[in-house]
Amino acid sequence: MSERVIADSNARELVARLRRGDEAAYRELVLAHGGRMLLAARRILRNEDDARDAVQDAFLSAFKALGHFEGQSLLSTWLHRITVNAALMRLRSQRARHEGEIDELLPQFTEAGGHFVRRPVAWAESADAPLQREETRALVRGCIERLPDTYRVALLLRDIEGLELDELAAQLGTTVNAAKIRVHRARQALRTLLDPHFTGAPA
Amino acid sequence: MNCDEVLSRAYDYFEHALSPDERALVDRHVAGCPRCGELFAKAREMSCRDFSAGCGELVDGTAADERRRLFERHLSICRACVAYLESYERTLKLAKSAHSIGAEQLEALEERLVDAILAARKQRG
Repeated sequence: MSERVIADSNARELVARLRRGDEAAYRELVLAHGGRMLLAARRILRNEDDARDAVQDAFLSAFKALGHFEGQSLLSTWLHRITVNAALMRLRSQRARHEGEIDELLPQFTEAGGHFVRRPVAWAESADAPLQREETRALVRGCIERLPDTYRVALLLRDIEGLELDELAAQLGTTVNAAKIRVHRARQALRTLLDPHFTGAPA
Repeated sequence: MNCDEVLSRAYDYFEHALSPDERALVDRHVAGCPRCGELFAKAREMSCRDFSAGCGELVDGTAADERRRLFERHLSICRACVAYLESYERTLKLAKSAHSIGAEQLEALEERLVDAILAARKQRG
């Protein structure tokens, strides 16, 4: 609690200095927040140069919009949103996007009864135990990378970047319901990709 | 037909894979047996396909009460969907932790990039 209050008052002071055009304050802002912003940009963009460019775009947008920063949200949250926007803009402008069919990664059902064609098998109990292990985390990141971009981005924004459904819908340019369905399918597809690693079934 | 015989045919019943005679026997038993009647009623309410399509709402806690009860009724008769739901929830947890930041991972921007950002700001006035 107290750390948060201190962080808030520091941020307010920093914003006030930025608005006065204090050069050192700009450097402080970039040093304090750039690392976290670069990580967010890397999650969305597959290429390191693109991620750096997105961070630069984000800072330039933020400098321009400082007058609009209300101070109601945390400075870090505000910068995070701007970074996500900048990264998505870059992703949209890329010609070689990774788009693919999601259908083959979704569960299939029998026509008449609506039963699973491949009956789900319970995952091994230990599936959560190695959660902290970097190996498991790398495996999951690799599987997320394999999702078609449309779905990968929906999952990232909702479940990892923590956007609310209405924000997500606005970012994706869809209705809230369509955004919800996209996130759900992305999770289902990710589940399919992870499944063989946690049931011991052949991939 | 007794309960066991009916239950062993339940899958084929809903797949429309029983002969008309067998189907009639199952129907007759189900109509007179409260336990099997309840089970078949639950199976009619929601298929695994519907469960799978909607289980995200259940996990996110956005399902309305009535709909949540339907999901729970389906889960009470379907081990496949219990397994599916569990692995879906674990997928979500794994996704969330896959990108969590450890202190060691958080690096400051390279000086070169910091300078580039500050220079670009001045250029654009």
